[in-house]
Amino acid sequence: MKLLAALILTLSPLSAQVRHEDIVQGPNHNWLTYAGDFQGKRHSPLKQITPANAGSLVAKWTNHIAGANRLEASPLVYDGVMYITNTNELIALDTRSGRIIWRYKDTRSKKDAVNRGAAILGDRVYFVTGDVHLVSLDRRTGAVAWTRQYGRVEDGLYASAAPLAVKDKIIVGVAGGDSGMRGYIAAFSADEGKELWRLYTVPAKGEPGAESWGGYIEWGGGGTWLSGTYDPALNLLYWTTGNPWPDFYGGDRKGDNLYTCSLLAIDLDTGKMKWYFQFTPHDTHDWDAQSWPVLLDTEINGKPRKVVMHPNRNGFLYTLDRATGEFLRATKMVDKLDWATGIDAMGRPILVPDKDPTPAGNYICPGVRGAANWMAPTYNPGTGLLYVMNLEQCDVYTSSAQEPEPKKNFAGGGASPKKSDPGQFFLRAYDPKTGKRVWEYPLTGKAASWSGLVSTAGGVVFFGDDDGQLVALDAKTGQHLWHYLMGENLTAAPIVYAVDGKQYVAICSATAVFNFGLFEPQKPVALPAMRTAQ
Amino acid sequence: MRKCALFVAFAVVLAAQHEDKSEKKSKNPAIGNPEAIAAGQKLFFASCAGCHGPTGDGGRGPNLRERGAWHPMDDDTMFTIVKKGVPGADMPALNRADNEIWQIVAFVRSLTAPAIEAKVPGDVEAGKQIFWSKGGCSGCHMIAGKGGFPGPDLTNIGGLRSVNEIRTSVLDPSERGVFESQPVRITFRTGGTLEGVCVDRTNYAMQVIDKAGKIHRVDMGGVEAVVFSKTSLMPGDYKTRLSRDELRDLLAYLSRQSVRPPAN
Repeated sequence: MKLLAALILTLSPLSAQVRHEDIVQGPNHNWLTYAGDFQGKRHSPLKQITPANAGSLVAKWTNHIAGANRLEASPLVYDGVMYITNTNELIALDTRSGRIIWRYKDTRSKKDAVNRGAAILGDRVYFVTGDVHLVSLDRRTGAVAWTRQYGRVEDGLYASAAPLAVKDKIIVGVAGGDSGMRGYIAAFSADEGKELWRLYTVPAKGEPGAESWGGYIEWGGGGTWLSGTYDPALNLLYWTTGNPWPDFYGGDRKGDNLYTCSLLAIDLDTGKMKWYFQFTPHDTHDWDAQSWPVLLDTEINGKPRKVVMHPNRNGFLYTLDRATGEFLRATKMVDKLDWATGIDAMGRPILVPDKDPTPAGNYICPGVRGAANWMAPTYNPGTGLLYVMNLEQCDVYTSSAQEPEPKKNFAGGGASPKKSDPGQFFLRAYDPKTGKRVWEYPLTGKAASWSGLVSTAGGVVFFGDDDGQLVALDAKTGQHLWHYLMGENLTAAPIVYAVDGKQYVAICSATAVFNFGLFEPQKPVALPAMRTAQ
Repeated sequence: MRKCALFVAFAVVLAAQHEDKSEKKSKNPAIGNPEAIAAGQKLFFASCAGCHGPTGDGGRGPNLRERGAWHPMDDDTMFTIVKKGVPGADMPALNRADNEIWQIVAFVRSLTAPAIEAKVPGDVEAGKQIFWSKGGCSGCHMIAGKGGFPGPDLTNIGGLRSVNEIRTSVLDPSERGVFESQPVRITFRTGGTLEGVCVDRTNYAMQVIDKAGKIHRVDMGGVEAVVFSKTSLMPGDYKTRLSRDELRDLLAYLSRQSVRPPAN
């Protein structure tokens, strides 16, 4: 008994909690939010791994996650513990050994969906289930603090995004916009799970913005299936919205279809929309705006500006004033872009006629997966470059005027590439001052990847390529430094962290978690004497 | 009598193995029924085209016409996947009546039914002659261990591909896309060149099969330049080189190349 008491005493000194201020500070040895920091930079200040030694990276451990077939989670790391998510499941791993410490699975979820990660705050970790419940767990044991349903599968909704922990709130979104639903963003109190506000991304009939719709506004879409970013000084959340529904046929929804395919700036305290910017009015190509809004301070025309940059699926790289939403600039990211000749001074696309889907099929660029997508970009303040995964692809877009049927996967058409012209990924570095390409790294593969990027102060960019490999490039030049084949399609972005003073890079492949570090010989482990006390 | 019993027992084992085949056909009447297939096509367009493309050629979701990409899968499994979705992937459950889901399965099956099951008309014997002599196919392709390099082995082509896929490969080989068997010429930094067919590549490694059937494992670090041919090594003139009847016979022969008998 004494022994037990002593053990409890030794183990129970109150370990530090994750505070909002820690997340504001950005990544260090920890990686506390999906994008590493609130600005969406996905940039680590760690410098141990450099272009000079990246060639010595080796796999430290691999853990295959039972039941996983498409991990999309960007891991979190706090105090040597890694948190990843799978369908209806959150798993805590020991970063030293790769062993699972605990796993929590909601086996009664009514919907299986991909999951993009967790949030951490205080002593809790948070994630969403496929059937739209926010779950709060004790980060040490996986014990359930509470679960809160915030949407219904019966209404065409599901959930997949990592929640965002900000101040004392947990922000969540919903998915389902390809089958008809009404999107929203909701805020919960982190401690008790009380819903504090909810902002719909498509207005109700009669509300301002409803005039930008024809029929089906109640099923208008505007999914919020990717986590957002946050400016602590402005107290604004930046959240992107998905496509209007039906995806490929706009005849029943004439108008701009607000606030789909948009970036929303939302007051964190009230949930009120401060401004919005719609990238693709009346979208008919399924070009959701889901790509990270990256917040950075740069010079535009020689003047310092606080901007939000957004690599959009429609092919343009946008720069907006992040306080006001003022459109500053848009530049072409991809060469395969033929639906618009440019973006006008107000930020609206200058359309090329006859670039909508047709019943017979219309060849349009970019393709349905977009020139950029939710594959995370990264901004490296050291090089001053924004790195984006671009897809050069066109598709044959087909439409149907068939009566839309909500909740039956009806999309009003579809899109496929021509076999003779498959897509190709390029990792491109952009100068935020000009929006122009500085260098590019062409990828091989079948244009099937969904992996993103991370950069480091050591001068390295890591990303999952289109052949199932983790790759390291020199952040300045784009020169190849190192690669490692994981052997399956990648649908998640890597992160960078440190434990015991050593820097690591971790990434989820489709079925496993991989952890990499610089080579050092393993020390032999002398097995201790072990027995069970009588 | 004992022999006979033994024979029966053996036959039962064989039948059981046959039952186990991963591509067993469902008893559902929709499969192979033209009306059900037509109805399934309409439903497919409404509910599946958003991801799999209007013709099943893929888009956000996988290509369903390329059998190799997702087969073998039996009809019942396909039904379950359409009805319930794929846990942990983007494939959602489909909220439709069972008979409608069977119609969709029938349509997808019709896109990809292996040629061996399609009873392609034509003179198989004549087709065989064309393959092994006039057509020159066996110079680059093998069947049952005979023939040449570096074309794909065709021993199981009827069990693997649909009639349409085989027809396209013969008549319009460059339509098949650039990833399969792309002719390549490599110049090494140390001098010397290599010509063959690139079967796989990344930025860092390439695997090439030359005309003698030798596998070259190429480290791209030692490569000065790579030139891919835009057109397939497969001749593009079979449309004119062979008569209409000869093409039909060749297709009939190729369609019957399968390492397994057709499903009943």
